[in-house]
Amino acid sequence: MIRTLVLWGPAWPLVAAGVGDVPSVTVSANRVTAASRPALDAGIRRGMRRRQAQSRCADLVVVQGDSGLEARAFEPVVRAIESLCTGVEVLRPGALALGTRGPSRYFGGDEALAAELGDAAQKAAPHPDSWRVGVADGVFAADLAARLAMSPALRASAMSMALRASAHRGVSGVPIPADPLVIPPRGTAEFLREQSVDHLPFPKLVGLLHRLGVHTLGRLAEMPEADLSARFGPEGVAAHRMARGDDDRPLATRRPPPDLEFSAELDPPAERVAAAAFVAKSLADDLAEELSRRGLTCHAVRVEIETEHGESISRLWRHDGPFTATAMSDRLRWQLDGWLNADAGTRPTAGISLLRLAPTAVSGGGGQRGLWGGDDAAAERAARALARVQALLGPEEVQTAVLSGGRGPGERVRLVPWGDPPEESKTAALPWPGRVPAPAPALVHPKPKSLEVVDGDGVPVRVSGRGLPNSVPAQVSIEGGPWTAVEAWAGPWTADERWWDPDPRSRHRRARVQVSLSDGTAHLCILEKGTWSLEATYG
Amino acid sequence: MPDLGLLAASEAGIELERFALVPRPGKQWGDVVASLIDGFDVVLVRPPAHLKAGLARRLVARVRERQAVLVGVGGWPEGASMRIDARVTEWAGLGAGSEGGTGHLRAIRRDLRPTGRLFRTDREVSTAGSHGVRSA
Repeated sequence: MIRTLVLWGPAWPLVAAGVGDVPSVTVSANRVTAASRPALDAGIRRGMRRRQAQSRCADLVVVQGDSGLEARAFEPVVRAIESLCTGVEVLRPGALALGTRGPSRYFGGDEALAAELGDAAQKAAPHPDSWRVGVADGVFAADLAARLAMSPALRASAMSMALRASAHRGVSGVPIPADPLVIPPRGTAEFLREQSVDHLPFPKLVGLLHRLGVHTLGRLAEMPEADLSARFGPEGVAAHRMARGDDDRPLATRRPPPDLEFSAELDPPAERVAAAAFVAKSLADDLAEELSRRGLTCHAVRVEIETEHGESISRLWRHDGPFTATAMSDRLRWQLDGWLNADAGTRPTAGISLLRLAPTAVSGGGGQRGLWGGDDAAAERAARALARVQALLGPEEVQTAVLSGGRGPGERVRLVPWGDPPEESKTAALPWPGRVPAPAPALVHPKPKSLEVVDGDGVPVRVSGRGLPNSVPAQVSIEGGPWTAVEAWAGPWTADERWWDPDPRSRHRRARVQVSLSDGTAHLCILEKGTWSLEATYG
Repeated sequence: MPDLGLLAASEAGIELERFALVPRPGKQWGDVVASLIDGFDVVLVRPPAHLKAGLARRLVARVRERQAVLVGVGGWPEGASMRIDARVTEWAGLGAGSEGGTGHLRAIRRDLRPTGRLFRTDREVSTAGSHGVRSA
């Protein structure tokens, strides 16, 4: 376990946007995602509907979150902290973490370090609600401590917990905490015990845990890890480790092999963010591709930028979950943005000539590329929308299609409920003699329409056992409608399906015919047991 | 759209595993479509016969806010920024007359007539593809 300090600016999206000192919120999908201190005082909470929030506070400012701006505004804070300590990792815009071992000895203890860094951050970027500092064992606990710091009610309960912990161990003279919340060494598990599972970074799992009656991290920690692993997979194990107060870094973190470093030289050097961001995107794509090819996931990435004059900047970005290509290129772009738009003194003196992306913490497996092509935000949005529709109509009413083997256009696509694990159909690639060639019809009627097909003499058309029609189709009537002349036709494609099956209902002898009619439409007709029906319509 | 030809969609280049289908939205049509607009970039619907103009306008406003695309098959009562009329002009590959019964449908030639605010003049676009729909 690594003693960690987290510096966190509450409601950073709003502070970065310059509206941190008035009632303001950011909204995503009609729900409040962050609220400034004045907004919180007005009774606005995260997760509220936009309308509800506005009803609590008439002059509420609603802003769109802009992660680029947030990262840019955070840059001076990172620089200020870096001038005091090494090994600073940016968790997200508005939050950073660092190991306290060295710095805390230098500044004379965790409390002194926390106070020092809080002041430094406040000086670098004044925060109307002040910067929060938490120190604990592990990033997760420290982050949580930072969130609880200065929030009097919660801090009281957390501290009584910590006091009880030290009393339990017979340690006397616990220092009265200053504004930062410092969890005593080895007191982290105790501190986490009474905290809600809501703080875990796994929204789905949190919902499930609540329904199972597990509301606190302590209860979660009491469960056997093996059971959680069996029930929830890697996410369950990670959550359990966080709840126990163990380090949240993946167990099997290994040093990445050197050739996972991707860099790109810019010629001519880029003066503007847009030019470099384009290269950054492809760099991130390459790295993500390579990682996924090796079955690795990346949890931290080092972003390095060099200029023509040899100036260089590098920064470490961490991510709760595995990094996706988009997430990495965002970090790279924010970094560029922050650097190129800095004050005159710190701005680079020449164009950017080199970009480098290097994963610094990777672990094997667990991070397969998403079904939706790896774009987290879009996949999440889509999943939320579908979940809402499933809630409205029932889970089976949202479907997705899987190609499968078969002859008719309806048979070649199988509908499965959304969310069921997609199974690859092996039969789709097999040859299916009697299959109607592409293009496929645009409309496939769920219930085939009744149809009559006659030749020039008005005699119904039949197909012989050898697959030959007895006469030429001349007219058709759909569902008893008027007779329409056949302009052109093709077929028949015959199939004798499942003749080996003892159940006569699953045996089919069918013939399919394509016809185009004088009214400008074209259809796929099917003949079975002497009866025609309309299977599909082209268009 | 329970009768959408999914095989044709797949031939046209749509990845079926990224394609969700709500075949029977029933009475909650408006709510379902609104939710889908929130989550997806492209939503294909067949508006019910008596779609109210108010609901149509609300959905269009939502589409604008989300920068999504809503395609109403069979027309849209109000607020659409573009309308495309399609007409098939040729079914190529089918045997006609004495050659009836030969060949198979190979290509579909369509005339598309886009009208609306995005087009200054009406013009016809012909498309033909050996694999279902091709955009021009």
